[in-house]
Amino acid sequence: MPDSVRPFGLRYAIRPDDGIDLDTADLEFDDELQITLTRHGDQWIPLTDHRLGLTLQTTGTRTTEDEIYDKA
Amino acid sequence: MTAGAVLVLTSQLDPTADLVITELHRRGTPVFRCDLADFPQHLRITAHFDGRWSGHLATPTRELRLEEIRGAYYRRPSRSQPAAEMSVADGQWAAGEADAGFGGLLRAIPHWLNHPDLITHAEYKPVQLAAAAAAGLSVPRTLITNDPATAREFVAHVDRAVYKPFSSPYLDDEGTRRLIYTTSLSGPHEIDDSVRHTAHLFQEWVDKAYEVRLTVVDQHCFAARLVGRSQRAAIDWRSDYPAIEYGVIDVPDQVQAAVHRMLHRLGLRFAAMDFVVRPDGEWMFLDLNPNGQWAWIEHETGLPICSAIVDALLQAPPDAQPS
Repeated sequence: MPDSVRPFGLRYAIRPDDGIDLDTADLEFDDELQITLTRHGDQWIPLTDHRLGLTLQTTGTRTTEDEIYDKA
Repeated sequence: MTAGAVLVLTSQLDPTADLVITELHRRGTPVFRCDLADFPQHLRITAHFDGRWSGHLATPTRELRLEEIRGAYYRRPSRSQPAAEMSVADGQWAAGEADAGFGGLLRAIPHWLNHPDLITHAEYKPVQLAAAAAAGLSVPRTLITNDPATAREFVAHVDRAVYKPFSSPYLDDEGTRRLIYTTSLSGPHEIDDSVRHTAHLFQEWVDKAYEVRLTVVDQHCFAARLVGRSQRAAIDWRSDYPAIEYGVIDVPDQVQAAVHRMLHRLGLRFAAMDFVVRPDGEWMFLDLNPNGQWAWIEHETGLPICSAIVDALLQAPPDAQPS
């Protein structure tokens, strides 16, 4: 986009440095429990019991993409 | 599904909703989790009106009778998805009908935490600031404008000013996702004519002893003190989570009363609110998120927010009827 038509506020857009990669192959929705499980070694545990769960609680999710960014 | 079930409307991947569902299950409450994006491909609705709405929502494996909904949690659902095979025009029409029909039916369900339309209303920053001031909260001087000269004048008039976006902080910049945090301005010379291109929000900087993330669930207030231990976190703590130091504090009575007045005015049962506490102890309202994150606050502080949310979802009478 030419700078001449770029809104002022967009100059402050930055790439956050604490985004994480989310491998959806390590996630599985458990239809019985109605929660997401994640791979932990050779086990599947509730995502909320995993450190990734805390990260997602903090940052919010973009489920259609493979990266997660801050969102309070 | 037995009477007194809780509907959780959320995306499939939402660990915060997972916490609520786990607690509901622990209390023996039936749960029906679905997403707007499930409709119409994986979610079937049938509703009859005969003086009141009755019917059901059904996934391939579970069913929820509308008249048995005890409480409903609106937790960041995705949008409904028309069939991929549809033309663009047909898909847009179908999506509009889904929003009006399925979305309308959901809006008729009582006992939302929070009602989706009230979430939308409360997300507007101009609405929030006016509601906060009307309720008796202190609010920083704020300017909304697309006029560069007015913006420069405002920034010159206050000791220090910040720019913050109104809504989503996300920018998809040609494939690279970026975020726009609250940004401190160096002075009026930083303002140029590009302010003309959309609405911009400038606000007076407030010196802070610390910040507060106040999570409110009905009458319960859970206040976490946040101290940013880095330059970035001191301006906007969202920009540097590892640098935040957490604590628990009490909310002054007059602030608590004003907060409840504000949420009553906005019709909200849940809110994640941000305050600055000045060095002289005055609380100043900055922001309200009617669907904000709270689980990490519970993790960091031990404040029992999840339990309060579940309490709230179960407060409605089990025989509550959609209106």
